[in-house]
Amino acid sequence: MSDRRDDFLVLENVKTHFDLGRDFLTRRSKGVVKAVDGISLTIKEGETLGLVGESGCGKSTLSRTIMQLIRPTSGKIWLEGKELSAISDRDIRDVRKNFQMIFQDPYASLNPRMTVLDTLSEAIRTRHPDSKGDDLLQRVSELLRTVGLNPAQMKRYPHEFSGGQRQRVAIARALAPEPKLIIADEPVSALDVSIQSQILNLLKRLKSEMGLTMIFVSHDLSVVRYISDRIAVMYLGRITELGNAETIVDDPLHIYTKALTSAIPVPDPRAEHSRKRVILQGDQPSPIDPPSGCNFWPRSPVEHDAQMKETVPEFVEVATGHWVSNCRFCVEPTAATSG
Amino acid sequence: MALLEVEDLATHFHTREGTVRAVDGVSFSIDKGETLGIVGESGSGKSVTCYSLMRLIPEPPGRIERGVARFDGQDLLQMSKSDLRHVRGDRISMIFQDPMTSLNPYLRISTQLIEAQQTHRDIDNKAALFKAIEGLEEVGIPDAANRVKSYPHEFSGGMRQRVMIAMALINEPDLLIADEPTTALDVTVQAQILDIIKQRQERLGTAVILVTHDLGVVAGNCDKVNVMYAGQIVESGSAEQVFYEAKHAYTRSLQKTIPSLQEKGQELYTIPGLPPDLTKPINGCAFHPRCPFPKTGAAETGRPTLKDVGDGHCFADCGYCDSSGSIEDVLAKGDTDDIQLPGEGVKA
Amino acid sequence: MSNISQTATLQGKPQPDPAGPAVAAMLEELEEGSSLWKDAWARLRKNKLALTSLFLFILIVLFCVVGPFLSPYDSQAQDLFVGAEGPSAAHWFGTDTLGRDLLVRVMEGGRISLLVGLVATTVSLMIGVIFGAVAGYMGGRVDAAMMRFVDLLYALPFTIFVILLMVAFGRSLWLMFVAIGCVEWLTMARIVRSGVIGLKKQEFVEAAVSLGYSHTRIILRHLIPNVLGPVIVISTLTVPAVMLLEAFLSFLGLGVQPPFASWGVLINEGQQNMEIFPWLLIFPAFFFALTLFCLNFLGDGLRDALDPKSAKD
Repeated sequence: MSDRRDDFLVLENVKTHFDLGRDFLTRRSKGVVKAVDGISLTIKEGETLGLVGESGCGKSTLSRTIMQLIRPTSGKIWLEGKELSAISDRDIRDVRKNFQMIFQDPYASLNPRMTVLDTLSEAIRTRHPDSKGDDLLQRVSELLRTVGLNPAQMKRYPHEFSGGQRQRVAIARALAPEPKLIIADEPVSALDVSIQSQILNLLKRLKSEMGLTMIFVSHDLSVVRYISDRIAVMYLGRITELGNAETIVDDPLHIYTKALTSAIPVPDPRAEHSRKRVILQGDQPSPIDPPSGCNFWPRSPVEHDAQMKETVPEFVEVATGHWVSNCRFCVEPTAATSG
Repeated sequence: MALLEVEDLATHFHTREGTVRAVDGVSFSIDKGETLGIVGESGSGKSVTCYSLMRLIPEPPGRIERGVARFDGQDLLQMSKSDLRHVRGDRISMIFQDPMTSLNPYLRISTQLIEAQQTHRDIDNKAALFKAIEGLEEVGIPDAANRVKSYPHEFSGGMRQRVMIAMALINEPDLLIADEPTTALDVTVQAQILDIIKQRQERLGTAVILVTHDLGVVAGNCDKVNVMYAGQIVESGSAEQVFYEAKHAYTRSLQKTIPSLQEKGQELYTIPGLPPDLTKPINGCAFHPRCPFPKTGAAETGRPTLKDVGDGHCFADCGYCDSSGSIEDVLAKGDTDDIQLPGEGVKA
Repeated sequence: MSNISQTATLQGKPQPDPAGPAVAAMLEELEEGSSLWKDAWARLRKNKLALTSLFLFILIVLFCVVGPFLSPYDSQAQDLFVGAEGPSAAHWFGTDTLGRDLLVRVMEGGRISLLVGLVATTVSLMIGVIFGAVAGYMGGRVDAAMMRFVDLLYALPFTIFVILLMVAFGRSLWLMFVAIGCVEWLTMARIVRSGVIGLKKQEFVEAAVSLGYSHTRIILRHLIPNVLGPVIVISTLTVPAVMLLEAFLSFLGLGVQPPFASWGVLINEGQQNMEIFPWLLIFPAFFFALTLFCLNFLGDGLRDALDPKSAKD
């Protein structure tokens, strides 16, 4: 595996668990939330990886773990050959500018007491500590132009902008320290559809113009398909399927991915009425004491036996670049060959 | 005769910043067993329309200014509070967006389901409980007989929304209003919930008003569709008419902004600008400033009304929009992600 | 503005600036934003009751600060021949049992009362905000330890604490300020802490962490400004509370000592003779009550003006 460390971003068996502590009286453990439970991934420079899954699957925890906002419980993370997971809490501050995050809620992600100018100048100074005066102003106005805002509005406060414009400011702030990696955590799900497309277009343009590497986290597979090169599907803290965006959406192997793709409502009445859905059982189980074996068994719509609960499926490469959690109940062997 | 006929409904909110014309002259009708979708973005007035029908608008600041909503011959908007109570929860019921807050956390599910029946029916506890269990089974809650005694927090989000549906349908209403019933849920659960609503509707012959911002949900579940923008319906018709023969520039623009319909490499169409400020009077078509195919001409006084263009397909034709234009041409013309003009930000 | 190089790349240093004057020109064109503070002030201005209270409070402060210079009397000059006399043209508020002019004494008493109120509130504000913000931001064990310390001080009976301080360091006006401030900051710390814990989960704080800002910077720039709203409201309500405490301490003989007087002392003297010389009670009590009313109404008005829910998003 050591050669993989030369890649841009490498995750090796990353686990992020949260201990809920012990009951005050009985001293019994309240359990451990296995939010991220053994994830290995490699991301190439300039690539956009889409990370999809339902709420509670651990995708937000995984992005915050890569961001080192939460330190992993075990496993290793390398960015450009540097092991982030080994850097001390004190020193991590100095490398943070290399990876930035765009958050979901543009109403909560900007400090309401600071003008756009203040917010951006502060972020620019993490890369250029000596920038001030005209130089700083020019950098700020350039950033604003880059994200499609009018620099004349830089002295305004966040509440004076609409949701879409705020998200642009948040994107500008993430770009300010000139990062190499951007993690976008549900950047459009709080926005109206007509605004969504503006932000998606913008992210796509920035990515191609600046050669950014991006991890795009979303629950919406159609959005992810549009923007990503590869897609990783997460379920209960693990990756169930990973591959090219088109492959994952059009020819998925794992039954969960199939359920996910078939559940996306398509704005086309005839197609909607004629399509077949894979309907799952119930909801996603709690990540506290998750199901054993292939963790998908409680929701599986296909017939299975006790073996599914016992054997943890291997994560195997079934075709070039197409990886799947190879549970023999979830992945039909016929589909594997015909897909 | 239609089950519900709404005519010229207007609901305004009188706030310190001015009068917000959230709903401003909305007319539609729905027949028995039919599903009507109301789509629009936030602030378009789709939810306020439904809350007005149920008379759940907080007053003040809200006020139903005018309009008629004939439900089975009675006007919901003029009805006395006590008559209204007989209609609400019995003949018309509602499902809300957030399943986490729409059940009372301090009462058992059984208590809430029994109460819902006994408010409107003369039914003893035992029979009501039996019906409650039956209702829960029908919405796909496993082991309903045991779980009926649970409290809401013991259920997951999707399960809670099922309980909400069971509760809304327990009195077999004629009309179900579902306000974004699946927005807070995951897609796989959304598919289950929509499926259940559809099944129950087929069995009971309930009419459903489905409010959503998701064109995909509308396409798969609705017979008729109303597209709302800035407090008015700009286009209405059958799902096929609205999706395949959209006439209004807003409907057409909206369809082009959705990533799932577009080729991957293609740039998404973006609607420039922002929705209008509803505290200011709107002259002419509310969408005109953002229209991709504007024709020059003077704005009308007052907003364009819905005109039938055949087979019940209506749209608000302002006459200042070149309806033969195509979005592809606009997209081809170039950068739609332009720098926004000064003063466009929402001024506090 | 248009001649700022549009092609300058984001990465690296911007190109040598061919448009130096343009930046200056642009600065002049910048639209001034309206901060939440400005909005709050605009809302407060619409609140007649709060505004009247603010105006009255300023008048009272001026009355107490400037008043004594304009009066022909000395607050400590006794005139035993006059004794206690009702209001007259010479002594508008009358005189006390020692023949001292009550008007001047009310004004000078007000100075002390207001000073106690403001200084003690400022002390409690500084300690409370910083302590609470640090505890809330650090969380975990640090937070638990810091808050147990607060609980401990809460549990200590206030009077005993002050008596101890007085015994240990002797009586002085400044010591009383410190004593009151030391008690009042506890509530402030709790409020700030809970506010900070709420804010800490907001994404803008996460963003600040992910940009690698220092703890001090995050606390001072990103957290504290966002809890100042409730803090200001509590402060306006702390000032009257502190003034009442001072009156109580003076009543016990632990506060201001003769010949100095505060409103609390004057009221105390007045109520001893209120059946014979009612004006001795009425005038100081009136000013004391008026000040408390003003500050309470002002606090209410500020709460409405700063309430984030009424703020436009």
